[in-house]
Amino acid sequence: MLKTPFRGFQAFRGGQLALNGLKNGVISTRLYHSRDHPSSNKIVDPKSVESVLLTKALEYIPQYGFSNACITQAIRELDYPDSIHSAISTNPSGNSPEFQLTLHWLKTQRQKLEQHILDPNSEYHKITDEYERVSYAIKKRLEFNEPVVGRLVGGISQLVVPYNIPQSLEELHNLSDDIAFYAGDMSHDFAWYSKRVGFSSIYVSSELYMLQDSSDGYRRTKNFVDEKVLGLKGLGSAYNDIEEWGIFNAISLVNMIKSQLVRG
Amino acid sequence: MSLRSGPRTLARANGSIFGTIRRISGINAVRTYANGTSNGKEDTTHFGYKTVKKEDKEKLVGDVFSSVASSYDVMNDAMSLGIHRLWKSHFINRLDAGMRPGSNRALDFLDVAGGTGDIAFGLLEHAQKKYNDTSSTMTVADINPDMLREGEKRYLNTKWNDGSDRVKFLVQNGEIMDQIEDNSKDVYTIAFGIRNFTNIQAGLNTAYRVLRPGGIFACLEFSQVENPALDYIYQAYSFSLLPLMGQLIADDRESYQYLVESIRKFPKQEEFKGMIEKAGFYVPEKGYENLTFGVASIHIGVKL
Repeated sequence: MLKTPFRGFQAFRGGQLALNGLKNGVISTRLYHSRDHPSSNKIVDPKSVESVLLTKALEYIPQYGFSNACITQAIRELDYPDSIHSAISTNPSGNSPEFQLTLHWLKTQRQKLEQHILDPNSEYHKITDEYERVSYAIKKRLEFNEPVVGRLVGGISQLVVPYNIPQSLEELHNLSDDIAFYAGDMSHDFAWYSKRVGFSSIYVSSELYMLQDSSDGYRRTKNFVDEKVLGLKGLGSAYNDIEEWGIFNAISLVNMIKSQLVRG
Repeated sequence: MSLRSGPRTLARANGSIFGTIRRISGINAVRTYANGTSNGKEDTTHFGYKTVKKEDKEKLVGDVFSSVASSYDVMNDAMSLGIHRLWKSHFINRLDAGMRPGSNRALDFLDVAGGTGDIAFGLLEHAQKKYNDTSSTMTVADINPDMLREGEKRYLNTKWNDGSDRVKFLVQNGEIMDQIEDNSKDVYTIAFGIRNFTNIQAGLNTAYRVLRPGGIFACLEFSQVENPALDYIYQAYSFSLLPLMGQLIADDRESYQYLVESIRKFPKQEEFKGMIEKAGFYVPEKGYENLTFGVASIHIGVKL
C-alpha cells in the first residue's frame, strides 16, 4: 500500500535531489525512489512465462469465466504441451491457478488504467478537480469490466476466499493508491489513509452495483460513482469544517481562561 | 553433537579412500558441493561430511541405498513421522500434471531416482483421477537396481500393471541417462534423489537435455530451515535421533548418518535455484516453495 507507483512525469526529480544532496556533502534525502526505477514498478512483467500464459488466458474469460479452462485453452492456443500447466500450478506463491488468473486480470486492468491516465491525449487531463478525476478514473476502470461482467461474480468469489483476502486487498489498495495519486492527492496526514480507504470502498461498492445494473451503458453505475465520490468530498469538507470549528473553540476556551486568570 | 563415532563400515568397504577422509566436526561445517572442490583438488567430492574421490561416491551411495532398500519406506515413515507422505502428495498436487481432456498428445513422465515408485504411481493416479488421463507414459529411472527392484515388485500389484506397458523401469545414471533421448520427456520429477548425485549440475544439465520444450523439471528435496531457532531443533533431532532410529529399526546406523550429513551438505534454496537456472531452465518468480519451514522444498524449472 505504501509503494509509490511509477510517476512518469516526475521521474527524475528524486534523482536530482539525491545528487544535490551529495554535492553538498550531506545526504539530505533518501537515495532510493521507486519512481526512478521504472523497471521495478511494472505491474505486470510481460516477458515471464506465467504472464504470457495468463495474458493469453484472459481472452477466454468471457467464454469460460475465471477458471482453469482459460489457461488450458491459452496453452493449447500458444502450442505448448500440457506439461507447462505445472509452471502455473506450482507457482511458489501457493495461489491456485484460478486465483492467479483473477489477480492477473486485476493487475492488467490496473496497468491499462495507468496507461490511459499517462496518455497525454486522454480526456483525463482536461479535468482539473481532484475528485472529478477520481470519479473519472473509477468509472474508466469499471468500463474495463464490461466484457467480462457476466463472469465477474466468479472472479470476485476467488478474491473473497479467506486465505486470498490479504492479496486481494493489497491489489485493491494499489488501485485506490494509483487513483488518488494521479488525481493529485497531496495529503500527508491522516487524510492520506482515509482517502485511499474511501476510494477502495467506493470502488468495491460500485463494482457490486454494476453487477446488478441493467441500464444502458451502465448509466446508473456511473451516477452511483459520481454520487459516492461527491459524498466522500462532502465528508472531507465536513471533517475539515468540524476540525476548524473545534480548533477555534479550543483556542477561544484557552483565551477565555487566560483572561479570567489575568483579572485575578 | 558427540555422535560422530561409531563403526564406519562404509568407509572400510573401500580401504583406499580411508586416507582421504577429512573429518569435519560440528554441524556448521564448511559447505562444499558435489562439483565444487573442497580442498582444491579436482577429483574429490563430499560423501556426507567425508571427502571422497569422485569415482568412489557413486559406489558409496549405491551401498547406502542397497542396504536400506528393503526397509526404505518404514524408515521414511519413522524418521519424518509420516510427513514425507504429505510432502509427496503436496508435490504431486502442486504439479497437477496430466493430459488435459481434448488434448492430442499424451505426456511422457520421467521419475528419476524413483526407486520405490511412490511419486511415479502418485502422478499417474492424479492424472487419471483429475483429467481422466489413461495414456500418458511413465519411465522410472534409478541408478540402484536394488531400489528399482522394490519399485517393480510393488508395480506388479498396482492397477498400472494392466498389460498396457505404460510404466517402464530403467537402471540409469541420472547424470548421463544414456538410454533416454534428447527432447523426449515432458515432466521430469526427482524426489529426494538429486542430493546423492556426484555432480548435481551434470544431473540438471541432463534433465534439460531430455525434456521437450515446454517441459517441466520438478524437484522435491531436503533443504535448509531458515528460522535459526527451528533449525537448531531440527539439527538436534536429525543428528541425534535419526542415526539412532536407523540403528534400532534397520540395524544400519552408517547409512542414516550419511543421510543426515548429505542433507546438511545440499545447496541452500537460493543456490540450488541458481544451479537450475544455470542448466538453462526458466525458474518462475521466487523459484521454490518451502515445506515445513524449509525442511524440504520444491524447486521448479521450465524448459522454454
